Amino acid sequence: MTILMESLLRYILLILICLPCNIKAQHIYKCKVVDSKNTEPLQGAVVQLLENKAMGTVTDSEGRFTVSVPANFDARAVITYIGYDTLIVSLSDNAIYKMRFDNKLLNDVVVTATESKGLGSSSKIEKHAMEHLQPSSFADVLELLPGGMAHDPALSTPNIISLREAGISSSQYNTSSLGTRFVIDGAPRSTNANMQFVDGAWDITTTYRDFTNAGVDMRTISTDDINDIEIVRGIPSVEYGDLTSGLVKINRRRGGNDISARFKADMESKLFYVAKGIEWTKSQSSLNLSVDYLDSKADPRNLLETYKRVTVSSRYNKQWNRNSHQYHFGANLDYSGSFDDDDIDPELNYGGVDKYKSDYSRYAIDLSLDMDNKKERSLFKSWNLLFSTAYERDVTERTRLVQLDRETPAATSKTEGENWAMLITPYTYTATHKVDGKPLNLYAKANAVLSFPLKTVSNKTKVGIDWQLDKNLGDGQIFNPANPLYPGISARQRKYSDIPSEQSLSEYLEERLGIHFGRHKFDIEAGLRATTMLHLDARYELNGKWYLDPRVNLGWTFPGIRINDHELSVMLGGGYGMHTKFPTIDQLYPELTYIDLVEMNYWHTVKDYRGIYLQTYIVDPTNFRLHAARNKKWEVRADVSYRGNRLSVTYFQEDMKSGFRSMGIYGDYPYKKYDTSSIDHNAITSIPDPSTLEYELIDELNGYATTQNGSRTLKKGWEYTFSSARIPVINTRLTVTGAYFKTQYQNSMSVTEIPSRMVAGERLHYAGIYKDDDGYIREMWNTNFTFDTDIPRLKLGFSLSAQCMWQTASQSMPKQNVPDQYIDRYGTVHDFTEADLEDIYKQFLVRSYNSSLYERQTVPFYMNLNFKATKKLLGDRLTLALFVNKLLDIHPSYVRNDYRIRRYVTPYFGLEANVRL
Amino acid sequence: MNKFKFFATMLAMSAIGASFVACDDDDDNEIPMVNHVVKLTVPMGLQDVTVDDATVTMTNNENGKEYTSSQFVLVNDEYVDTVTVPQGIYSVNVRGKVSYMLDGTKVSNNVKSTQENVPVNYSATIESKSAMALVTYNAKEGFVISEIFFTGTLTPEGKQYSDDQYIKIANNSDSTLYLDGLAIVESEFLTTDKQDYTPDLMNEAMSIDAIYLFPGSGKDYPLEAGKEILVAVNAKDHREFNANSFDLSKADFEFYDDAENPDFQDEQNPNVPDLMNWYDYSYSYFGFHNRGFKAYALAKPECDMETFVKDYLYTATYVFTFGEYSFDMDTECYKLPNSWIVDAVNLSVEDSYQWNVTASSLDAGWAHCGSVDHDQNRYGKSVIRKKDGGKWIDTNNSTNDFESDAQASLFK
Repeated sequence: MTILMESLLRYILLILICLPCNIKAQHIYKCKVVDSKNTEPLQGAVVQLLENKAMGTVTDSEGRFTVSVPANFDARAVITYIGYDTLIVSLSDNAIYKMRFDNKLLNDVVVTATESKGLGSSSKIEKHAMEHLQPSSFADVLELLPGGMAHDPALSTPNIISLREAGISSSQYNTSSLGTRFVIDGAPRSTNANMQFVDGAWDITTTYRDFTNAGVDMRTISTDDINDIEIVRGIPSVEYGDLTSGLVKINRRRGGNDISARFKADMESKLFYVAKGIEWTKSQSSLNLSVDYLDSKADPRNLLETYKRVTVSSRYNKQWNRNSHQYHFGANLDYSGSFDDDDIDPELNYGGVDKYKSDYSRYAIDLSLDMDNKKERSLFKSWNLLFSTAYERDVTERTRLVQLDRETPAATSKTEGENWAMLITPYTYTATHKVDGKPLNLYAKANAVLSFPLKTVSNKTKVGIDWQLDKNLGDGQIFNPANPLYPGISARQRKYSDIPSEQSLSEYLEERLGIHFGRHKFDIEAGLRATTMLHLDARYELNGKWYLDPRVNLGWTFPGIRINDHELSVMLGGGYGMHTKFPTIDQLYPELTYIDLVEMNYWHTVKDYRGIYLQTYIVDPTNFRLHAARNKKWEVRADVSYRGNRLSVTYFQEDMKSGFRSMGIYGDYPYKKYDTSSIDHNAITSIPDPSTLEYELIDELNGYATTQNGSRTLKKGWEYTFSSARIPVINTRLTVTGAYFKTQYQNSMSVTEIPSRMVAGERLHYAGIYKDDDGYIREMWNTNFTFDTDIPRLKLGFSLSAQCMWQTASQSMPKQNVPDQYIDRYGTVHDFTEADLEDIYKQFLVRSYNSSLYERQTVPFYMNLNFKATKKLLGDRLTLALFVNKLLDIHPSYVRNDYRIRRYVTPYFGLEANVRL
Repeated sequence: MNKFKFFATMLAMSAIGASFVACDDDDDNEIPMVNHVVKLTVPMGLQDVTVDDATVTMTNNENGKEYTSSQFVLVNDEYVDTVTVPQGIYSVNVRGKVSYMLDGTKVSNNVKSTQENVPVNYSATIESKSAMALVTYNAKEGFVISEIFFTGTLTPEGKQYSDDQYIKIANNSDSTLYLDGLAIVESEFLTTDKQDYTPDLMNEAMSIDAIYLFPGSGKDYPLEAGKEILVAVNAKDHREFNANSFDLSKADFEFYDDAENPDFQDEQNPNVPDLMNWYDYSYSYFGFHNRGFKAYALAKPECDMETFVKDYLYTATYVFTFGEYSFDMDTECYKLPNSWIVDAVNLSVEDSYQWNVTASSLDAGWAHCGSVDHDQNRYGKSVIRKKDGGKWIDTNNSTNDFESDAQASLFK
């Protein structure tokens, strides 16, 4: 912030100095100032004429400046920018000046996340921070966010993101992670076509690795190619859509002429990485190649439960400089493979087969073409085109020995009505259930930046359009229905490739203005994003519906206050935004539900006389009334800097009432109950024919699940980051990050359920409707104190991070015990009355949740002390690094309800070597 | 039950002693009539007891003549009736019903009291009377659980197979008894998880999560003295599914739960009568806890199904602690009055045992298969009641009464 502040103040000062100047015979130079490394424009760099420092200007948001040099003056200028080496240049029109980041001056190796200097709340994580962190996958990076803490890697299950929430493990509240958009080098990672759930699975081996409709598995993102990350926790620009909760922007390294390698080992995993960068200065092009391999075991003693990741990346970049334009072309070719394996030891399993395997192979091509206009007075500043495509081959395979203990019907009938069930035979078999998914994603985006040449107002207008297509070309759930892995499965197979594609189109317009009022500066970034789904069946309410996402971020920078010869600068900001995420393919196009009801299960000692007669109903669980999930956010922020110390504090609130939720729909499904009691069981010679039997027509409540907008996630909280200047002599900097989150999860639509009871030989024929079903309040308050020391003389950097969890709290919201209404076996809804309490069946609709469930329970303070160190050797060619998490810890035991609860943690450590040639 | 028998024997002994004294002067031809007063005291340990109907029968020892009355009235906490009988030696028998309150539920139960050789003599000054303490009793007394095979077997491939579970019930009395209306119940609480349940009804009732009754209207299913019957969870030849199992197709009864849901299909052997379900906590088919953490009991409910399901619901509250969390939890189950219970067996394993989930008067010990939780050696094993002579041992202590870790009788 200081850099921006100081440059802004200088800018204002210079304007005040320069404006009255009345210059005649002069030469005008229009140039640009960029960072030497990443060629990002530097805004606010001060350009002064060497001969008369009172004459000069400041670069704009594109890094451009225009300076008039009187004819008799030396055309040399001094360009200064805080944190960069001062540059003395001979001015020439249309020149681009590259400024080199000055390590000595700032002495600032930032090993933590920094709060972005933009208007919204976002965290920036640079390469240094990542090197110091020593991550294995992107999931480890989240430690650096406010509210984050170091966790032992959990690489044997998918890692989904949670931003600004205290967290709960329930698939009913996954819209938050589903709605966090990952954008890598401008190309989004869509998971809309991920359908790798195993139908009918009930075993934990399979179900806990299911992350369908939960967004991106962060394990699959390797961190080694990353140059910098920006995680927008607040309100992102309208340029980004199909999100509700956050945006993760990852930029990977470009250029460089070196070979680098990394080898990391920690308690559960090993990681190898090799990269080569080739830069052709003449043709202004570069190629980056890299390979990454991660091998992890859930438990080092168990070789059978493993996770492996392979990443191969090649990125080509080229620039063309024309007189008035600069073009940039980028082409990325990426492969990432993610492989879970879990085999149960055959020795423990009596030789039986029991294994799980889940493979994801993703192939992606991104092409981008950017044009920057060098002309300063031009309205048209730049445009970008991006096209990306990703194709995945996902295979999940589960194999197990199945042993039946009774005659079991196989789900084979594909027509509605009465039918004989095929009985599964033999009773012991090895079955495999495979899920074949081939998600395809196409994405195209065109974006243009305009700027009106206004004198008093700096402005930037962004306008763009994007289109996204998701489709699954896979074969879907593959299993033998006659010998299924999950007997009792009601699903029938369908090909994923038969499901329509999902397409969305968005347009956006954003205006960014910076206005000076005296020494005050007011910034506003306001935009509108309109988004709709294309080619959707007319029965969907989503068809033709446009969602408008207005998003505004404001910032008010106060004039600097001088205290002890140093300037205190203060910025207050805030934002409001709407965010929209469309349902996934699985949510839009669920497979047909088959409700099979047993009308007769005739058992006889003679196998040939046994038979199960079914009534099959086919229900389409598509919810045509499904809407997009929408999240409304607002936040207020304050940012204070003084002498290189900076504090930023954000209060936010996010309310998403329309999160996706799987909900039961119940209705009357009549069936005939055949009476076999009149048969002379010992005289029959074949299976009884139902048509000759008497029957009773029975109405019965049955149901199916469908996706509805029934989950609410309400997030509130404070986020704070303080970073001190590096204290001289001890070369140590203190960073304090933390957050208080209070997150409320609840159903926003009434929930229907049938109590599982058997009364008088029959199941219950009633379903209760409850307004308040599940409601969870989760709170957490943490602070990480990170002391990082950099000793350039010894090429040694180390950090100690005291990660304190002050308190976590959890509370359940009252659940309704007595239903408002109930559904009877005929599907009719009734009000639940006092008299129903006395009914021997309906009494069970009254649930028995004790009110003490709703008491708030807190877990007190604990602290982990984590240590990290990096040391450069052999002329910076070799870097050794190590980390020990939970080196020391404080976990006081505490008493709850007369129980003393003791807590223990075990340290986790790893080390790595980096080579750069 | 033994305590009651002992009590009754003591009473009888003292009565016999008294009769020797009273026998001498019985040579008068004029037999005077005596107003014999019968006073009843209600069973101990029950709350708000009322005697609903009671009949006293006095049987003359010499001629076997019976005199009855059922006009008991409440006088100063005692139920009093008067029977006018000729002077003589009598056996006095009271049969009746009482009702009492159990955690807000009105429970009805049979009561009885007997005195043998009671001398009834005319006296102008001394009132002839019998003070009788009522005890609850059960119409099904004499039935015992003789074996529970709850562990199941392992298939040749090593997978658990528990459809072949069964329970055996024996008639330990000296006369034919009828199974009709007898209930098999499973405890709600686990012997491996002790909680302070409130209200605590353990001394008055057993909390149960499933109750299945033998069919019949009274005398349809006789069981001779000394005989036992087998009730299968699934009455079929299990060797068809699991070569390591046995044939239960000839079982006497089976548990059967009707369902239209293909996932919860139970098989109904048409040649084996089904038990009747009154209540089961889960909509699926019944099975015994296969690690043996529950108690099982036989009982004779003294009410009909409707009344039971409606009135005997029991909400037990306890403090649930899990890791860092702890809160009050309610569990919904049924209370089965102890006075209805004929026999109870607690099951547990040594490394996890915490408490008995029935009153200690019903069962003071516990039986087991395996000694640790998930014991791989438990399969194929039963708990079998020991025999002494022709009788099954019933001291209301399963530790002593049962042979634990016994090979299932069907394997023998």
